[in-house]
Amino acid sequence: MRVREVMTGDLFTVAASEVVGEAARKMIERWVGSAVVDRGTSDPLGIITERDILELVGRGGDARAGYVADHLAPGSIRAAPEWTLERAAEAMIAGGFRHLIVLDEDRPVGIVSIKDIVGAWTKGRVRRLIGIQIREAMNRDLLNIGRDETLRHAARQMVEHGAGAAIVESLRPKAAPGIITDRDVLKMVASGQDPDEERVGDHLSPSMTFSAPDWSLKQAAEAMTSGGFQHVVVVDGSGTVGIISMLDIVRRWLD
Amino acid sequence: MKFPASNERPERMMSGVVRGTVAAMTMSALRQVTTGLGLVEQTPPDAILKERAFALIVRKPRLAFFLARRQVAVVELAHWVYGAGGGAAFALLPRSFLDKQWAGPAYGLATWAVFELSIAPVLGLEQATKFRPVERLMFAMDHLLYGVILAGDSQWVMPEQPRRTGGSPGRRHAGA
Repeated sequence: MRVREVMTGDLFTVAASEVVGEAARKMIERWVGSAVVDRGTSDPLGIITERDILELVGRGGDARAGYVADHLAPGSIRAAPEWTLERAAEAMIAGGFRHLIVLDEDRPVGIVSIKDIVGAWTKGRVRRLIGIQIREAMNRDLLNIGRDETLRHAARQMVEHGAGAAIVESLRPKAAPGIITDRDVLKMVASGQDPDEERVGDHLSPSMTFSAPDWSLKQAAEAMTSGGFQHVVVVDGSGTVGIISMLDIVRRWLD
Repeated sequence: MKFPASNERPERMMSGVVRGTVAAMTMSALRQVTTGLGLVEQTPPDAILKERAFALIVRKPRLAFFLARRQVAVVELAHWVYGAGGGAAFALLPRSFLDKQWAGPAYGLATWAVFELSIAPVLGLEQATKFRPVERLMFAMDHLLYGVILAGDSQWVMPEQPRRTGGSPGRRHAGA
């Protein structure tokens, strides 16, 4: 299957001169995790993602004052329409991206996300994942953050750990934990709130679910694409044992 | 073919539920052994939970959390409920079938066949695609055990019939 078959052709663009907070607000309005950046030059393309905004906050920046041009995703984030999904997935894994701009002879024609790729794979080649358990792909190195910590602290921890999400334990023992993700930080930025004042417990991700470590990876992939989740928290009788993201699934898939 | 009268059904179904539950519990005990010996890799209810149930609970995180943490108990309970339902259905079968000594074993094997031939392939379980003769034989055996225990001597579903005093098994109720 080729990138052109799964990409989104409707490009969402923000100006390079725009304030990050305003760009974040537009991304939330459009319910997208990235925006193509028009730099107004002959080489106009860059991209800004949830991850870049998390890094801005985590490194102490002010989203209400910073400009999009200064916070573009680093590295090569481009794909061609004729690339196979495997090649696009490999590029994402190598760069740690979840989105690639699709260029047809230097002309932007779409954007492909990791969700598009996993969604296509779960529809077409799902059997490949049936015999694989979630434990084989999950991340066991958990980042735990207290509910009373500030969002600035949470963002800094996530950036330092290279994590897209952190576990937030419940107030009650044995109750379900929550998570906070780069998406939740994006929402906070979009609403103009101060990350030094806002508490993690008030910004938990509403969009998450749980699985056991021995459930099939196929189920996790289907759940993420149908439920719109970026992460699934893995629990067993002893408590939280891991977390799995779409990048983890794709990495295991390519293995 | 004579099905039970409507006024008999509730009592017979209740007996069927009780016997079906006990039979399923006995199956569970046998599966502890066959799984422990490595003859069975994954039981059918286990496979359904691990390979298919997520789609149903993905938008219910509290339920997903509960199932993920307590899956051993949940799988057993689900199996017992399925066994109880099978017992209730057995109790409503025609008397001419229940009259046979092989009715219970045949019913048990039929419930296994339903899983192998319809549930597993329809749900796309891995078990439907793997060559696993030993595991299939173990499943056939434990379903056979289910049927034997469920049926007993079949008198419980035909309380108005006189108990057998002799003669060939197939002619127990020839005069009924």
